[in-house]
Amino acid sequence: MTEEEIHDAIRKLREFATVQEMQWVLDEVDEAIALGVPETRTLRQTTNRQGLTTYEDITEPDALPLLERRRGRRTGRSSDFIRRRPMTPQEQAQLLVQAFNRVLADIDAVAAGSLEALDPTTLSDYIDPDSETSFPIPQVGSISFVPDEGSTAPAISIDVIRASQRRAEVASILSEIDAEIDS
Amino acid sequence: MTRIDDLITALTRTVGDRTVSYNSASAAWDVYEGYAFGLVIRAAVAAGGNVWYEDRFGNAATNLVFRTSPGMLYSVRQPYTHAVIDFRECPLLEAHVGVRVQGKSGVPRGTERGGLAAMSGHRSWTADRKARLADPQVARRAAEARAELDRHEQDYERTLTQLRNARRLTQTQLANMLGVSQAQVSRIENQADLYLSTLRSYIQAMGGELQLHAVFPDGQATAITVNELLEPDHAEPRNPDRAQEDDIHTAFALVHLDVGFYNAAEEEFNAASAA
Repeated sequence: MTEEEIHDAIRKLREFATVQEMQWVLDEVDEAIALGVPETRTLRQTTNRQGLTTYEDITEPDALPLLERRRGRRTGRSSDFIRRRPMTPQEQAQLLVQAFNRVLADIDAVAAGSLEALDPTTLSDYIDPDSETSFPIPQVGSISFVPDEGSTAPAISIDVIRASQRRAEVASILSEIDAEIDS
Repeated sequence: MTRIDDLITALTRTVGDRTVSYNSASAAWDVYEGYAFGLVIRAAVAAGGNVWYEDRFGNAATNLVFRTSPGMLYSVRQPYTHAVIDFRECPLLEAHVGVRVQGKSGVPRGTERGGLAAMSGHRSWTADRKARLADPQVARRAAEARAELDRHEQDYERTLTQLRNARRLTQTQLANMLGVSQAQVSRIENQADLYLSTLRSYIQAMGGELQLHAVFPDGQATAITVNELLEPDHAEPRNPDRAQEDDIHTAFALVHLDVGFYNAAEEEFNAASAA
């Protein structure tokens, strides 16, 4: 994909997120993009006669001219620094796809797992068969989260067993988009 | 129409009928809390507990309602639900999601991010416990469970504070035994580096004996007698003929921490013992 095509894909993915009321995902992705990608670089510190300190990147010494490498070995004042570089457009697009996968596939899987964990059939596997006092575990119909006094958080409800086939389909489409961006 | 357009159209069609609206980061966290609740229930059942669900008013519930963000346990705005767990020999336990808990400091803290509070809830824990322990059979089972727990506790590494709590001692009680202030006991418990003599006094005040073990890279371990480290002048004179294996280990560990030397010396000792 050319850089222009990637920018176009990012715009379309963001539009999709807005329609799906996932502005909060875009906000978190934007925050991550603003932070950049952390990487370790080896910098050589030199101070000139005027007291001005400069840092020279010698992370890949082979890329330096031979004379430079020798000078670096002689002065020897280098340290590892963690710095953040801006994300490339491709990385930004892939981060968006990854975030959508978390929200649309992974969280659904967790939601389904919540109800499965409370399912009496599942739980009965954990009951000691010799136990005389255990009685039937009640079936859970739904799990919902509703705001309490003073809370403005929106209510959510996990009221149906999530369709695993749909989760797989979403994950598959997102994987294809990721591959397309990578091409 | 590009390939990306096609894929986004397919994605929109697939997720179009989503019934869970995760429209904030906190909503996603709520889902994880629900999952953690399920794990607690599973663990309770596996441990032999009977589980049922109740709402805030004590009515049986099958549709679970939790708080989106930590709230007070006594809130009646919604029929919030919790699990009741009965282990028979213990007071009834309740598992809540998203309630504020308040310790002795009086500062309420949320149990968000998958946090759960297991507490006696609406009942008086002490009264409930007393009533149950009035039954001699329950009291005997509780004592056995406590003894079993104490045995297991000995197998775990723990901090000085946990050790003291396991002995059912307060900082003030321990301070009285040591003849120091409560603040000093607090300092000892939170100090990163301790004198061996201070540590020994602390352990002795609880009725214990401080033992040290040296563990070598090849997996060999040996005990070091703390008294010898602290009071070499008062140590009992050694008599090689009566030396116990532990004493030999100790001597070697103190004199020479070289593993090769230690192994050779131990082999000699074992050969001599066999002879």
